[in-house]
Amino acid sequence: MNQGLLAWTKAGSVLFGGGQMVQLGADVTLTPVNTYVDVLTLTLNTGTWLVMASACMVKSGSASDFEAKLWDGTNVFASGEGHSLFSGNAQTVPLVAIITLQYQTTIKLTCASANVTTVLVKAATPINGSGNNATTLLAVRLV
Amino acid sequence: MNSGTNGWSAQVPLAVSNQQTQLASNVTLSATNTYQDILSLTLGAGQWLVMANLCVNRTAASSDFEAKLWNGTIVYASSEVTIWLANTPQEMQVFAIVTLSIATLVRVACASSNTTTVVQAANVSDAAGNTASTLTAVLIA
Repeated sequence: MNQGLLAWTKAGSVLFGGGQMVQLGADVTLTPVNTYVDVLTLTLNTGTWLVMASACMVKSGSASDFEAKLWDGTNVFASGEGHSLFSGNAQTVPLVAIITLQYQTTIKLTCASANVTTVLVKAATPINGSGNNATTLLAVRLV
Repeated sequence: MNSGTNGWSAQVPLAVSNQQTQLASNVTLSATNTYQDILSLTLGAGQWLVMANLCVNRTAASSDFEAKLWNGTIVYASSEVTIWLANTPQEMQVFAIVTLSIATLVRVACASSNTTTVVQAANVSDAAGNTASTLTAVLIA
């Protein structure tokens, strides 16, 4: 018997406790430079969570770096970085973390850039946009 | 086995359903700025965590790539990346929590504004089999 494939059930329920998801409704400008700006948040209850995020970022005018992190305002659970060489070309930074919370906590997707002007976190992809679903924060309760 | 107490009565196989499919051969994005379905899964009613990754490449020069998770009508999530040189592929991810009331065909689709663009079944360099583009779903509630 493989214990890794077992789980506790109660009253027929599965182990996973469902999920929450938020998506960016409008573009967010990253100002000032080198300063993280909160983009999306989820308030999660006590437990262990799989948290995933993607931030679609673009700069008009020139090349740019893009950084993103998952954190609770103090502890950083995951971070990532992307880069654009050309004006208007986007990069999406994905982040994943498993987080154990001792009490209800607000988890944040936060972004920054070292460039000065017009760095945007995009609600929709700049090219071939499919609605406001390009920047996402989701959490699935594991235990 | 642990008999448990307080209503926890049995240790049983995890009642979580999951499905995965992987691209078996390269798909050329034949029409510019047109989403083309790459992979699909039929999912039953319930709440699913759906995750896709696509390895995208252009043989001629730089290019943008867009991906979306959708059911043919509703878009659950989208993503965009750019490659800067010919044959410098990138892996792009798109994921969402999807709540379905009936069995639904969920797809990952890809587009680009350039020609000679490809979704790769295997990595261009140091290939590790046809595992580079994947659609995965896990039932979470």
